[in-house]
Amino acid sequence: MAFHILIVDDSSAVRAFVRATLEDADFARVEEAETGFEALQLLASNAFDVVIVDVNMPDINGLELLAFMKKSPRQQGARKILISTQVDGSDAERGADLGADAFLEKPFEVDELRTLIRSSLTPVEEVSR
Amino acid sequence: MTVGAQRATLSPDPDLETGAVAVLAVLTGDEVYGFPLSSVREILMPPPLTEVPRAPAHFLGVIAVRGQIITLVDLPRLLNLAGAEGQPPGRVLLVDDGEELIGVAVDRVVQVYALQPDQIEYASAMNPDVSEHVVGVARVSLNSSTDTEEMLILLDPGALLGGLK
Amino acid sequence: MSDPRDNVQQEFLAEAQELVEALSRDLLLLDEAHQRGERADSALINEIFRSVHTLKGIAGMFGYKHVGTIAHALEDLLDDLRLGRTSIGDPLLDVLFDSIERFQRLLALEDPQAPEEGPGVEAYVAAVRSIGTSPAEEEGDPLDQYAIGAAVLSVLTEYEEHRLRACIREGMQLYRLRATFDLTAIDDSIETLRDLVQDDAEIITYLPSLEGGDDESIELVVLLASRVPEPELKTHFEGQYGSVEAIEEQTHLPTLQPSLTSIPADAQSTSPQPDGDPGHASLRSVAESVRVDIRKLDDLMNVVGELALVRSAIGRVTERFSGDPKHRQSLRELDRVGHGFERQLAELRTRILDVRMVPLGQVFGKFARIVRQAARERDKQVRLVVTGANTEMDKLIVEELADPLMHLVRNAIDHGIEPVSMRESLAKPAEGTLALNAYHKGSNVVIEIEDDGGGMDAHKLRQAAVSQGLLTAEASHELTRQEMLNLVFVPGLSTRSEVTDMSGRGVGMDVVKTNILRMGGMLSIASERGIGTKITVTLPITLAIIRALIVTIGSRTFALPITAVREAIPYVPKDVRTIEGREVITMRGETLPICDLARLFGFRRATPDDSRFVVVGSMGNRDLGFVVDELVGQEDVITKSLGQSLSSVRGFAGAADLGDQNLALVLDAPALFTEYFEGPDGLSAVERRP
Repeated sequence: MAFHILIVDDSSAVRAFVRATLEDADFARVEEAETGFEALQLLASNAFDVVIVDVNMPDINGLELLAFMKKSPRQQGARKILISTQVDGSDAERGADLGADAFLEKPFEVDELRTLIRSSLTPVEEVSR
Repeated sequence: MTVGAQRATLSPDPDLETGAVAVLAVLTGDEVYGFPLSSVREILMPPPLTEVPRAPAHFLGVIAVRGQIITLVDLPRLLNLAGAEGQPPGRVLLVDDGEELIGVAVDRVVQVYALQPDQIEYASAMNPDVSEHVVGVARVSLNSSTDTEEMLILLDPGALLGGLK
Repeated sequence: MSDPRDNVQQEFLAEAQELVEALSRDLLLLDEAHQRGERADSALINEIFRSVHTLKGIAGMFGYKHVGTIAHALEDLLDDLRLGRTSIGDPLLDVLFDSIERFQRLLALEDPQAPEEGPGVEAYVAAVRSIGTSPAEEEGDPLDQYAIGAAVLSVLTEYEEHRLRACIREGMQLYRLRATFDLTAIDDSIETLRDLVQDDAEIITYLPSLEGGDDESIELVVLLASRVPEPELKTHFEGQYGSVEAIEEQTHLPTLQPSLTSIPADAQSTSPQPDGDPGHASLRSVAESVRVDIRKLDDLMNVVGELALVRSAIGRVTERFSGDPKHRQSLRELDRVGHGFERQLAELRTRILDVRMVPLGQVFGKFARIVRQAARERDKQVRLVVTGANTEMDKLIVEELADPLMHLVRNAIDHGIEPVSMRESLAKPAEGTLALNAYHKGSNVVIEIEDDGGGMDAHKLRQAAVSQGLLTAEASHELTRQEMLNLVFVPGLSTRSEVTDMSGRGVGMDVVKTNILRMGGMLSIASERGIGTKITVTLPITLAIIRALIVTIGSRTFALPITAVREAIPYVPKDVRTIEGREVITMRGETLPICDLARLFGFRRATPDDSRFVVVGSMGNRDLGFVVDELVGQEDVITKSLGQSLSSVRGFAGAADLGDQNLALVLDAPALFTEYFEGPDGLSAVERRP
């Protein structure tokens, strides 16, 4: 029952960190995208359980991806987590409007990420912002 | 072959539930010496040896193991033991001293002992003159059919081989 | 549970290093543009911002507190810059350049949170924050005038919004380009679009749309700003891509600025956009290369070596059947296959070696910044001219070279090039020239560092050597001028500052020479008072594989790199004479000193004297004959290092695997030369000229 997780972030260190934190044969399978374009490719042919997106990417930024996912039938079931460097700023507000389920503020700890993922995947619990 | 970044220390072998320390015992110059098993990467039949001129006496030379060049040292000379010189090595241990892999020439490999910490008399409790590469001593029986026990001298690879550089 | 960050640490350091390098390159471009009086390229500034922003993010996540603090301060500054709240000037550039070294130093620390670094970091941050900003002019938001749509505005980042406003203010027209892209090739398609758009328009953002497109393709709405008139844009794009439609201005608006409505009409007379990309590839080049750990390349070479042994083993088995006529056909075929295998193996070896090759430009690039800084610190004007940056060398050597070369460059600026006033009084151009040149010569790479400064004073060097007690006065008078110049490499001489100022060269030349020698290279110096100094560094292209002469000494096998060998002649014992305690022979009328290696290495000679050979070694302008027992042949060998514990033994560059685990020690010709001519203490008091 491994969850399918997509991490979209232009930093290879962050992607490696997320992969190292979450990847576990029983728990989750992690895929990476370095740009919004790559994410579009992956989103077209996969249904993910969780999509973690960095706001600040060149060309197609995280908000644009969220907007796309909100309207895309295939990605309706995915939990969307937005990574941003300021949670109190306009990013959080706009993200919420575009359907983000949760936010992670950079820099974040291993435990924060794990907790957030687990709670995202439990349908019953309300996700806190 | 990758080499560990940590200094090899006597640490409990995770496979043994009893917290015992696994030690590889070797015979050289009529004495029994022990290396922490975790520091011994391989035991080889001695490969062809290439001498290195003008190297200090305890260096026998260099050997090639799967494409890698390894320095070979003579254990008796390293420990300043008299006698047993000129004998070709019986076996070569590849030992990780924490920085590189070094070949140690010995006469014979005896066996692996699982020593309980209370079987080991640690050096600090003994004569302070003892060299710093000796961790301690233990009594082991070499031959299961007899009861005679020999003294096994436990060595610290990092201290023993690190001093070469 | 273990902390995943430990494993990923390497990933962080690699990415951080790349970001700092990209930052350094981009800063140079920014600086150059500024020096030429050009307006800054907003895309470049944004790239610089992004590098610092990303660095801040990952530094925070991996516990590199100080790096994060500095990056944060710089991020704010750069954000102000890209949003137009501050402008480029020398103070801003200085503070940015300063950050590179700080980042590199902080990234190299054992403890990334070292408290003793705190005050330095705080002081720097204060300097960064002191760069002033001016509030943006209030003109009414130009975005209100365009029917862009709330949906689009809501997904733009602050920067994108800023660029949008900036473009509108400059009088550009906004367009929507709708195009469908094949998902599998989307990266290339976007690249192509970018190239196409480059000169005519600025891409603000890409908006993925759910209209159009299917499982294999996707429609993107690209928001563009351009001065090019609409009909032209339409013909430009509509054929290849989708539709282009202008975003209409809203007709009713109280604060309509007259200038904005008149500009589209003026747009016919297009002058090249100041934001035009001069065509540098720095923005994209990173994606095309792959980070390779050089140890993986060494491992690959080991495998190639092992494959070669397999090939030999097959050859030997083949030999066993060679006498049997029954198998002749099959043997011939096996032989052919074997040769094919060997060819492919050689090809593989060459290609792996090629991967290790990097252009020297990598190292030279850093120097532009150093030269700029050092020149300003010393109040001198220096122009750096680089040629041969494409010359390629083994990555490991290039990395080792960085420090010694940097040292030589600094020296040239500190002590070689004179201050402006002095140069002018000497009728020299006020701006000094420092030339870096690199080229291949045989199996070596030659790097020249030349300056047109004051040159070195040979006699002052000689005097200094005498007064330091390194040389007696009488001995010093026998020195040739070149020997006097070479004194600068003697340890103990070059460390005294009065010596350096007088003699025209600075601290640490002895260390530089040691480092170069250690890499198997040579260093030579030429200088003329008042004219300049030229230092020539010669290095092997790669340490990895070399052609060597295989010899036996005392019945043991050794390898001597062919680059050091000029020729080999028979050893005739009765021709040996002794002059001043050294053995020499005469060859073609010239005297050649010889060194009996069997004796040097302490072997008993196995071969009778009259069937030995002299291998004439040549390094720089010196010759030395090595007496060996037998000449076995020539071979390409891979030299592997002997390991740390044997590193103090002189005369060996490593060991080479000749097959079947038989090793030949590789002789280190430069070290043997040095030992013979200069003695173990490295002092070349008097070069013995027999």
